[in-house]
Amino acid sequence: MWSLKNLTMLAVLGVLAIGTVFGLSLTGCNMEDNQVDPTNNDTRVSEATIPAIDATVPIETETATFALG
Amino acid sequence: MIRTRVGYAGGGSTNPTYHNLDSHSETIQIDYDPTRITYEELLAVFWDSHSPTAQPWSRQYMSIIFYHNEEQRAIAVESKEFQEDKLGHSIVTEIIPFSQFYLAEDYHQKYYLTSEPNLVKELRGIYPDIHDFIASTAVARLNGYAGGYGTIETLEDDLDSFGLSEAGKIRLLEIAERGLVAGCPVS
Repeated sequence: MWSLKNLTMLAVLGVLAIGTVFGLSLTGCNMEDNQVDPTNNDTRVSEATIPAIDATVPIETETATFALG
Repeated sequence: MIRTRVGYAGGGSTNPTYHNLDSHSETIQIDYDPTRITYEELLAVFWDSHSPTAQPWSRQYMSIIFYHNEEQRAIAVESKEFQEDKLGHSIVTEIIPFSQFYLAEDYHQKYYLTSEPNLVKELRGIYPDIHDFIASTAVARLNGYAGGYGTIETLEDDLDSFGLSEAGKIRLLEIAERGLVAGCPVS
């Protein structure tokens, strides 16, 4: 016959089991979110580095302003 | 040429827009490396890029040199006199001190490049902020090539420095194969 103590323990174990399953499913979702699809062009573009020509622009520049019709 | 941007200047109102220019004129502003190109050379492109002898019908399309310092003013005055002698005609171009430049709407910037949406997509991936995109030397140069300006030699020299994918580089070379004209784009 189940004692109150056994029932309580069973309930606690049940909650832990459900929590574990729920936690693993959440972790799984996060892992999927972090995966990078190498065929996705948008992802590649967003990770692109600054063009070399922009990384080496001179600090000293002058400015000209014109209106030409 | 380091950076280019188009906008409005010379008027009296603040924050003009394309549809509310007031007395401002359509303007291009250029940041350049004076060790690579001189103000005189930029002025030569300026004179060659428009007809400065006819008075425009509105201030939107004025011919104006906005000088940023006394040296630019003196060079501009001398250059205008030289052009008048060369053309044998008076020039309507105003030479006035620079005061304020208002950036034009985003859709006016890098006009030639808008015809190459795949290149724009790549570059916006690098520069999601539109102001960074506008200020990029790579974007300014590519805008020129997209407009058919430049030389194949400079393109081949710079090709790997634009941050483009292989597909982007191939597209750029295809554009160049249509023919390039040595010169400077104006937007």
